[in-house]
Amino acid sequence: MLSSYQAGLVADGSILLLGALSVYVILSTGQLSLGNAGFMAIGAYLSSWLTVSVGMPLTLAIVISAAVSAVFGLIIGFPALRLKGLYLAMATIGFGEIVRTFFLNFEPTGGAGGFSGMEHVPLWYILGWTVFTLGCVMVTERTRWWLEIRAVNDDELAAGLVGMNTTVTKLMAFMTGAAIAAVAGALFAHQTLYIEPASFGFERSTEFVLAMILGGSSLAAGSIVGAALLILLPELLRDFVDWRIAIFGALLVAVLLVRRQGVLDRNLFGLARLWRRVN
Amino acid sequence: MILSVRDLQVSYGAIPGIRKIDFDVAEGEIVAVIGANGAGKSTTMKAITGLLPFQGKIAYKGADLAPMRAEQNLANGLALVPEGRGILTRMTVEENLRMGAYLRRDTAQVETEIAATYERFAILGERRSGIAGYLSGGEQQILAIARALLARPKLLLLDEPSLGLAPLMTEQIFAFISEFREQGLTVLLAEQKSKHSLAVADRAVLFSMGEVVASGAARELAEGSLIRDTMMAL
Repeated sequence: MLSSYQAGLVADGSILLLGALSVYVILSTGQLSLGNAGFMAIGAYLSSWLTVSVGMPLTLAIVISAAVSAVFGLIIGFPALRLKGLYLAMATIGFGEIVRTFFLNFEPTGGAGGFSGMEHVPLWYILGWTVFTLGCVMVTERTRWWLEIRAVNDDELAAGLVGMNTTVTKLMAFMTGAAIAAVAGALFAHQTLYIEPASFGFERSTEFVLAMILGGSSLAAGSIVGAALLILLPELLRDFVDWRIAIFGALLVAVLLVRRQGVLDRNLFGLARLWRRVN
Repeated sequence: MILSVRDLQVSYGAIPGIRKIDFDVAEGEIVAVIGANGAGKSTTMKAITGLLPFQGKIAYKGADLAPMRAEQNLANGLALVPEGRGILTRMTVEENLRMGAYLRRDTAQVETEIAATYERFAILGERRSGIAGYLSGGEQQILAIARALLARPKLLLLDEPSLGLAPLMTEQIFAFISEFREQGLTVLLAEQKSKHSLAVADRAVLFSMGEVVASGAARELAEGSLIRDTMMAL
């Protein structure tokens, strides 16, 4: 049986894993989104309002929030068709800040004072959504759609030469990432029981990106490792008191220097398969 | 005629890329488009396949092609192997081939054809799980051609297939192109290497500065000095 402290860490790790996955799906098309905290905020606020003010069951509220967030993903995805690299990243930061500022000034959801009144969800519920979402992404990685996503990431012009509509692929990835981030937000809101705009700032978006890159940006399973490291390392370094964040940062730099592709990558899994075949 | 190009003009902003191009391609023949760098060969190929906006008229199987409709053109049987090959370098050889058949829905037939591709191009069979970007230039070119063939084109456009290849590999690539005629595939081949191109082509069109300066049977053009003089003059 987990203590409430341990259960809290697992819940935080699960939500971070979902956030990392939301970035992973978008990054797999070669687009970096630094505004996924914005989609998370939409999921958190909308699901909370639906459960608290409308009295809707949480699962249905999460599904609706994910769908609405996906529509926002489509809207933010359109500029992405014209922007690439740093410019796209900057545009997504702008989106994240727009959403955060909106909720800061939107009184029906509490404005700067935040929103509360949600019922606490058990850990198994959070884990259920996390495993389900992770499973969906991992199954999708074996589909034809994922081949398209990788092709767009590899060379958009070459992908177009085989008849792919790269625009649709990129937009779908944005919508999927936005929906996953909204699920993370809804679970976050119903775990912490209080949300405020500051919970969905730029730091949150970078945390998602960091977890995904640290764990491995070439496969969904990498986000599990990244989220676990990001949650556990600061806890394991508590003995170093004031220096723990600095040591944590140094460890991150060290990992990325040694394995720029992240802890896990496709080749590592390929080697494991080869090992099994040889033995 | 499977392809008819009339008064084709393409501009890059204010800079004219093609001033006036006219030529035809009959079904089952290999037509070589010859010209030096900047003559407009690649621009013509891209305009035909729908990758560049153009003015003028391009008719394929009697129907006018609209500009910038690459996906639709490919579905209708116009496949381009671009200059620089255009393969997906971070994906495996097999994944590249599967992407070649992207628009097809006859999955079982695609599997059969991929297996046949490995037999025909043995190097691809040996490297099927390898990353395409790690293949040599010649192997990448073979992969690019094999991938285009999996789209089952009626008209295959090859843009500088021998660019940057060793002489032996160039011979091999042109040997493959010769085989296409026997299979009844129509080929439009853009090349700087006029000797090789004229050896495999039925007819040839000579481009210079975005215009057609000569056209005719490949054998006749190979025997004359016009191509050499035009290329040397630039």
